[in-house]
Amino acid sequence: MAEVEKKDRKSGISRRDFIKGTGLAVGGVAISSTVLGVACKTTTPTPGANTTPPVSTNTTPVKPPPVTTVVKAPEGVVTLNVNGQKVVMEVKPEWSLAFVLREKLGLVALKVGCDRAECGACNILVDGKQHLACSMMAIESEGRTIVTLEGLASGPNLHPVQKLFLDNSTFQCGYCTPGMIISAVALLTKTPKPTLDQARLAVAGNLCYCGDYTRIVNTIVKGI
Amino acid sequence: MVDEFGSGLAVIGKRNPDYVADDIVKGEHVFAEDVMRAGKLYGRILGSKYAKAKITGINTAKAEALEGVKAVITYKEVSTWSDQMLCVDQEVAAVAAVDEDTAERALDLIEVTYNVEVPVIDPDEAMKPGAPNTGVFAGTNVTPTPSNITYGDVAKGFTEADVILEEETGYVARHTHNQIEGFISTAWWQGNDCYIWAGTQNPFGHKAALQAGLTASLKLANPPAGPQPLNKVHFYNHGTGGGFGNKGSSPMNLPCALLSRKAGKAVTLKTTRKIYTVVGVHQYAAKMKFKIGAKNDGTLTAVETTCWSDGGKNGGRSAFADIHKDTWKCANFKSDIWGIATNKGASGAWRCVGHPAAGVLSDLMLEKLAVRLKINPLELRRKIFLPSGAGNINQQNGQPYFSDGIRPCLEKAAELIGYSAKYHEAGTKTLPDGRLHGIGIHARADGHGGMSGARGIIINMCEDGTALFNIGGARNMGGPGGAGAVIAETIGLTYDQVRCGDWGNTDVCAEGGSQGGSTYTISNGAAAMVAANDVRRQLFIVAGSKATGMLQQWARPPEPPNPQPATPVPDPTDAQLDLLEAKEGKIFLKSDPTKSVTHAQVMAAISQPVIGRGVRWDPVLRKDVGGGAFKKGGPGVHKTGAACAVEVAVDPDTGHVEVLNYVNVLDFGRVMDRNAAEGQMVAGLQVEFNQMIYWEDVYDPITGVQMGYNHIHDRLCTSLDIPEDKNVIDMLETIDANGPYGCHGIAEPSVGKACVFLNAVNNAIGKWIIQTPTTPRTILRALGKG
Repeated sequence: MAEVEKKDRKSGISRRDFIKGTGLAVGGVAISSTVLGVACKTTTPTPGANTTPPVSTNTTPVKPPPVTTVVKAPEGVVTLNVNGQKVVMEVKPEWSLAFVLREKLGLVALKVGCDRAECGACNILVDGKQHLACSMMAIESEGRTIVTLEGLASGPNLHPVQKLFLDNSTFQCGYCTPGMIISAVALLTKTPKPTLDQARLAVAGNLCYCGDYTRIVNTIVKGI
Repeated sequence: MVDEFGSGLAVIGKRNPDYVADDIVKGEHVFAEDVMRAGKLYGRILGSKYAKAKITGINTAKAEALEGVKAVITYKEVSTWSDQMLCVDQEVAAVAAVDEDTAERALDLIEVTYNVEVPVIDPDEAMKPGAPNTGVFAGTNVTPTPSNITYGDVAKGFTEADVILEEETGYVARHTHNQIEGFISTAWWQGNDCYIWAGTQNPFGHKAALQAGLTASLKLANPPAGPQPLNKVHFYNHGTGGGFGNKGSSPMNLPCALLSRKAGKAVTLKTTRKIYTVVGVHQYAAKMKFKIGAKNDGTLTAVETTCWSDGGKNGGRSAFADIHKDTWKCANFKSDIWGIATNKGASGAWRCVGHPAAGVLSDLMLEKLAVRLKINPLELRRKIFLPSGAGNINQQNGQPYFSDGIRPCLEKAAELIGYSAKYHEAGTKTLPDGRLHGIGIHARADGHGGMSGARGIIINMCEDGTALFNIGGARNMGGPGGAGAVIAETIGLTYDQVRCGDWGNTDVCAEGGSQGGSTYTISNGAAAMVAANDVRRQLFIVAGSKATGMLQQWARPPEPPNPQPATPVPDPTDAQLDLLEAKEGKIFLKSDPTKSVTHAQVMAAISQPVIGRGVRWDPVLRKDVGGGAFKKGGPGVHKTGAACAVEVAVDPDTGHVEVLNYVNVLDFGRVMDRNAAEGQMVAGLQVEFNQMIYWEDVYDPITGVQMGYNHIHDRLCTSLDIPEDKNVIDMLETIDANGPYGCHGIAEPSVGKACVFLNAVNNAIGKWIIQTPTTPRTILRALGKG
């Protein structure tokens, strides 16, 4: 692959230099979404009939699997643990985890609103904790347990937090909602009946331009 | 607030679940960037380095040679672009590549040469004689004539005044749209058919603009092509991540389509945060010189205002910088609004076209008058607001307003916050912790509540008696849900028996108009009602036909017999049809509700499709049911009354403002979709607080570079700023005389009353801050500490 170095206009450091500095190499590209078994949206979707989804009876917090020893893969190839399934794929070192999850694995629930860790729309769970996928590199995510919004439901059964947001109509445009729900899951898994201040803090990193904070916080306080 | 809305109605006003609620909580609600096509490419925009310059040359060879780059287009190929730069980051070129990083690297390889000219950034500088020309207007930076409204005789009115105030305000700050979702389009081609998804407030408007842009741009192609027929532009929308007035059009649709055509692949073109803040529109910065005359008892005798509005690179003016004419009773009024061109991004709608600024400027007059007359601000508003009833008229043309809940809203807001008990003169109350207490109130009536525009709804009745409808508008809050509620109520189905088949799909839906200007629920609701009445009539004719053995009221058979008799059996009259009613899944005789049939039974008796067709003109009622303002200046408009009140604590040492209590009250006419309505109302606190305390576009005065273009510098409230337990809303229903089921539009007045915070801060500190934002530094300076 031809390499073209172009300095960042502001800092004089290219992203490639930065990645190389951390010991990673440039890789090729391959897509193996079928390994994940996740249906990628390749055709224009149409809205289906809206039916009341069944409720998951599983309210036990899901523990992440124990971290196993990571065997170093060939350069540019990573094994990602996403929503309970292993994905082996080649990634470019400059690809963010958000880009890989969305554009290569079709997990489009997370949104890249700012691409600089300001808005929280790309919020996911990594090893049980919230992380902003726009600010993680895919190539550094090997060995981590990644859960996106798509991975919360159990088959047709919504996660209790999804059901909480659904039952309380806790959204407006819906763009920030995936990130909000992840934040709520992170809180409610540990604190099923939070206080107002705990709920407020839990979503403090999630921006909502529609101004729905009041409903969001009041919904989270209802707990699971 | 009442426990239940929609008194006497089965569906309207209830907590009906959003049609896409399940999709949203599962992350399956489709936004433009979520649309996946095999081999999709990723696009980025190259913006101008200079605020005013003419491009003298462009070389894209190196960018095109970069591995992974599949298409590059420049201003030469995009009909809506130009070689004349009028603001920093104005579009110059665009790249489509295999991933975002490659596209961004390619931008750096595009070589552009400019003939740089002197920009003008500050509006006051732009207005000075001899100022450099911004390039927007020929020979001037100010609109050649003002937008003028005059009625009565202001000179005479001032002679009748006991008190005259004359003053000039500072600027209400310009600020940018900064939705989490920027401008994003995904486009692909199949032959000469262009397919595109985008976040939008106006699917058909986007489609028409794209068609025009493609037709003009394809002429520039090599070889020239086009024109692009309208039926070969397929525009779709499901999710929109916040419109707020910025997505009535999208500057990304055309370059996205052109990139895709050139690359032969689907492209998602997404603005970076930096580009988004420029290519969208900005809330007008505006200042006002005012002269207001009043009697000692507060009666207004004359109001004269001159407003200067920073229009950026389109030089436009805030068309509503004089909204008080819809609210204050005054026989003599004159307003001139000038637009100023500057070398910054264009100005335009931001949660109304200039209303937030207009509210600030108007209320400054009022608050100062109240102090001068030594009248409580609440009492002054009670005195000067237009009356309800017969006196509720447009003072310019004498036409009546259909609705106006400003007075009940004002009283309710005052009651809920305890205004009368808590009010004190400015700068006279200190809290035990040393902070300064302030209270403010604001109310206005907004003539936006039912504007015009073509709207159409199509209903398909299913064989089992349920209904599907298509609506051409985007899914802004209150749209499909409100239309669905109207359809269910009118046909007599439950909410769950009516589903939205599709929305925002310009291939299968009828024209949906613009989801802006607070028009969606009322205008689409009107079309929905006409379509639903069409279906209702068809069903009733069958249900009441003796031939079906159901409700057996008239001879007319369900369908014409073949052959037709010499004398056809007439349709039932309106009076006969009125013998029937439909509610909660049944059609029954009003005289004996036990005699009923289901919609499924009726449909079983019909062999042809039952389709409801609705536009705003009702052919049966012979009137426009969508707002009265079918044509501008028509027989009355809807006016939405709204009021809010806020209590604040201001720290005199830091300038920090804390919201202690907030109340937001609005007259809906009729609440159509309760969940959506509450969502609009609770948003008021955040939107207004942001505008007054945080938001201001800051530009380098020499280069015109916008300094804050992200959510840190263009600070957005977080959950930590909003006291949920102090955010009180109330929704009033005055039942509009003309809107479907009595509703009118509400979106703008629900969030555009930001001046209430300025009123409260001024009350707290006892000084006059006459500009925004009211940052801690501004407050400290006003207190003589900065």
